[in-house]
Amino acid sequence: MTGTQYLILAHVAGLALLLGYAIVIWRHSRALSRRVQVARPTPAESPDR
Amino acid sequence: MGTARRAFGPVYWTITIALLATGLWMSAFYATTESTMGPIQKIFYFHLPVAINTFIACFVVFVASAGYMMQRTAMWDDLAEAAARVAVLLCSVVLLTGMIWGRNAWGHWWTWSPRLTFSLVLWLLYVVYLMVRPSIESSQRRALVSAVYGIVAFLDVPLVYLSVKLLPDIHPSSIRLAPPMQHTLIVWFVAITMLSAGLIVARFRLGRLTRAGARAGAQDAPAHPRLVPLGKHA
Repeated sequence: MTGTQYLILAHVAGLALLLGYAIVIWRHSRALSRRVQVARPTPAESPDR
Repeated sequence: MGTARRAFGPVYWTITIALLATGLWMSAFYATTESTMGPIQKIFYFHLPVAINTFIACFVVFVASAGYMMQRTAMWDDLAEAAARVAVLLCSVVLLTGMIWGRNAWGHWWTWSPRLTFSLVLWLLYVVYLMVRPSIESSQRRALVSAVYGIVAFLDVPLVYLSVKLLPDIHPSSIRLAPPMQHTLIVWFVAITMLSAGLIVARFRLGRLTRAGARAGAQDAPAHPRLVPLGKHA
């Protein structure tokens, strides 16, 4: 492999790890916010009303 | 105020991505190619800011661990965990990019030089930090053990930094940079700092959300989304 190919490999691998983790956190946060909202109904949604 | 807060996240991440793209463009077309090493030297613009941010993330673990020891509030524990996860990620990227550079510059992927060895030890210390946490059932005991460990583990950071200055090492310790190289490094440093800060904050919020979910009775939300406590595997 040439120096340029190693350079591209390093950037692709490194940025994929960093941005991939950002996407994982974003997806988990979105899923969890929905679950928390479902578990904690607002007064308007409460069956007692 | 609420709208401004909601808009902050997308704007922040858009700026971060734009800076990363600018850094990539500057590495490719703006920074001059170093005469001795050739194009592989351009890994440096990515490698160095990630290494510095690894130290910053480890320092956040240290500060949050000390904060927990003083105040004993879950917020500090969540912050330490978030920073430790990002520290492991950043350290993995440092090791990976360093190995790729070494393969081209030295002819081999790894050598047991002091800086490389202490960097690997740093990575292992924070991997162990994250592995030990789910094995402790009591949340207070987990936070206390993690806080003590987070303070002690930080001792390796000065060793990584000073190893290249105090011990004989083949790792480059300084490099003379032309102005275009300096500008490229600055853009990369700002981009990577924004990225790692954003990751720590986002993971911290996820930790708080997980705790809130557990309190609200969302039983299907595990305390650690990807990890199962030791001894509870099927």
